[in-house]
Amino acid sequence: MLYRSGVSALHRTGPLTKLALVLLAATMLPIWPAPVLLAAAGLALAAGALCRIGWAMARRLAMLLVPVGLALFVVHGFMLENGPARPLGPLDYYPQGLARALTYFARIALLLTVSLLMVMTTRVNDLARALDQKGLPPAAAYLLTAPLNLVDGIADEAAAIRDSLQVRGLAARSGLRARVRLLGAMLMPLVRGMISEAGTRAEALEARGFRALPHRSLLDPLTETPAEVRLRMGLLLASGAQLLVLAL
Amino acid sequence: MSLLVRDLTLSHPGQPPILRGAALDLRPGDRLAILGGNGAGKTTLGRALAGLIAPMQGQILWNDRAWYEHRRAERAGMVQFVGQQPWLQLSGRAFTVREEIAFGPENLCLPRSEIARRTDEAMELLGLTHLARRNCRHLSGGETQRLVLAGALAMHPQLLVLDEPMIDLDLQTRETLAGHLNNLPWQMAVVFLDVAAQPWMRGLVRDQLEIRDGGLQPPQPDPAPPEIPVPPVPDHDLDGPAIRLNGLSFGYKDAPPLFRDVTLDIPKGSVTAVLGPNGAGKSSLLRLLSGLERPTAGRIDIAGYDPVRANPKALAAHIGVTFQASDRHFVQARVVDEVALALRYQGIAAAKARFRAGQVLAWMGMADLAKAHPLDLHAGARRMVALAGAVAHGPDVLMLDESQRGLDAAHLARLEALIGFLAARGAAVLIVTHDQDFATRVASHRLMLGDGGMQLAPATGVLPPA
Ligand SMILES: Nc1ncnc2c1ncn2[C@@H]1O[C@H](COP(=O)(O)OP(=O)(O)OP(=O)(O)O)[C@@H](O)[C@H]1O
Ligand SMILES: [Mg+2]
Repeated sequence: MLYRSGVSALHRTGPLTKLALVLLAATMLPIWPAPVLLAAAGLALAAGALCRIGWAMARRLAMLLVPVGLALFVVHGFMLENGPARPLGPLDYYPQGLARALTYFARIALLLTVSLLMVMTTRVNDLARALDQKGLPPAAAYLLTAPLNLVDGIADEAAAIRDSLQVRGLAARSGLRARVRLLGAMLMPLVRGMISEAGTRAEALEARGFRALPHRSLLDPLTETPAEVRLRMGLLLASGAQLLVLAL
Repeated sequence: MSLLVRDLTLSHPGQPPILRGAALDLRPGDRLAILGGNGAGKTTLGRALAGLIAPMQGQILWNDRAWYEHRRAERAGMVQFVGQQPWLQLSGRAFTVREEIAFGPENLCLPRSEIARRTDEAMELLGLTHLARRNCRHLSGGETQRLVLAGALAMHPQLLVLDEPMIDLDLQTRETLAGHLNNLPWQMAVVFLDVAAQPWMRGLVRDQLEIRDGGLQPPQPDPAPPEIPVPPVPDHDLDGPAIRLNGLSFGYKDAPPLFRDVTLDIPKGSVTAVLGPNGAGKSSLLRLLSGLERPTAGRIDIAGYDPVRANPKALAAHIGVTFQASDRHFVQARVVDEVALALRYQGIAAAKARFRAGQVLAWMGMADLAKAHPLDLHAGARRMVALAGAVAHGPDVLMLDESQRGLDAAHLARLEALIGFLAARGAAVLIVTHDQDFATRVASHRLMLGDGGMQLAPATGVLPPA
């Protein structure tokens, strides 16, 4: 559901390199001021646009960031007492609170943008394979990628239930009330389905020898150019440096 | 592989035991079919043979040792089980078909060349080679079943337990697979679980046993199915087509087009068998007719509605649909509510809707299951519940995606009576099926799908070559 197929440079970049990029973004958060973080987020969005996922990315970002941003600015700028207040029409607002909200917002925005950039150009199972290839135990790679896999699983499940409800007369396009009813009607079967299926799925994995051995071998190992390896080293070093700054 | 079963007792809590003190021996190369009606306990037995559940009592030995005495990696190469819900057996760890098949051998840390060899071999056996790079979440029902079979075969198991293994496969694939299973490059015993002996079993299966009276016994001929009383048919009109396709074209994103410029009419009161190989677009056609997909060009008219523009509620009053993987589509916690759902969404009061659902269930011989959870029933009953849910509101067009498969003689008789009754009332019935006998018995028309087109012909007529 998150992944967008494509052939761009980012699609071709190895999953671990993109993971290093996310790490770099994460270590930037506590160090840099909001404008820098926002600029970096803008850069990431521009990179997405170059890889032809700009629109899809922007849509998702808007969906996530607009409500979060609004809540942050309202709560910190107007509701929580934060330093001296200033009048704004009939309301009072707190400039320091607004500044704080901006920082939080910028952090969330950067982390989200870079993460989206990664998950939208990386197949989850390529990430798992890359981790396998590094010799991580299959269970560890599984733990790291399971949440992303779950998203796809739930999306498939939800689609089946939505189809079932639509052919019997309840569909989102009938209007707002139907939409609300639809969400309510989907919840229980979705939960029940996930629970009853988890066992079968785990069984199927075990039956095919998953985690029977401490390592896996790969049919098609991922290949990396020396340039990419150097890039990743650079990203990791930069992340390390920022962590060091933070520690001092 | 030797499998030794002694004094095996299997049962579900609160129900009479499936098997009491049963015994069974399997040697390498054996081909055994275990038959039994819906709910006889085939799946439970199959799962026990595959080490997935421990028996209440008795002993099962694989190569003279109990399950827990084998190492995990050993077990995976020893037994493989392919169940009735193939989509639940996908690893979720692979993107393409090829990666999914390689997943098992990769776990066993086999050398790369060996993984590649087995993967290619399994794709070849199941006719998946042309789908190697396809996303394995976007496959048709039969393609998914093939994929799971291929994944199991790639493990080179010594024992393969197949629960209704060919149910979603097209005739061609059934024949090829049956042929291949006879000359695999490694020694393998196979246990087939099915409701009745199937045509493809000829020349493949060497022994047949039936689950009967708590034991495994030689099969007996089916008793004649019961007479099903059919209610009298009210007046109706048969003028005009029930379904009209006008220049219909359709294809999924990133896949070759399925239909190109199809124009045809399906009359009221007809029973149309929708035929064609796996991936021909049978399920996709039903999705288009139900308004779940949009045509890329052309128009559909079904019971007077355009499914793309119509209000889903208005359309739903006139159509009844069962899905191929019907287990995924249950939405209610009780059978009776599941069956009553379409009535409820039409605005009928709960008590009245439940009463009508109860009547439908009673007619289907399932009145005692009304309060059960649909997913707690055996596979045959689950399919009947999906069917009941599709007909309870008296649709003008009934679309069944392989509803007949896996039903025993008694359930099948009810399904056929129901189809006949609805058609006599003037409904158009579309049934997707790979079962030729069934199609011959019930269909008045045949709709052949393949190569971007559709051909409608009377059931008795000769189809022009596709
Ligand atoms: N969501 C999807 N995205 C892309 N391709 C799809 C999708 N769903 C199905 N397909 C492809 O479309 C083709 C037709 O699928 P469909 O499910 O209609 O086949 P079918 O005739 O019902 O086959 P079966 O006998 O296996 O049930 C298949 O090749 C399938 O892989
Ligand atoms: Mg289908």
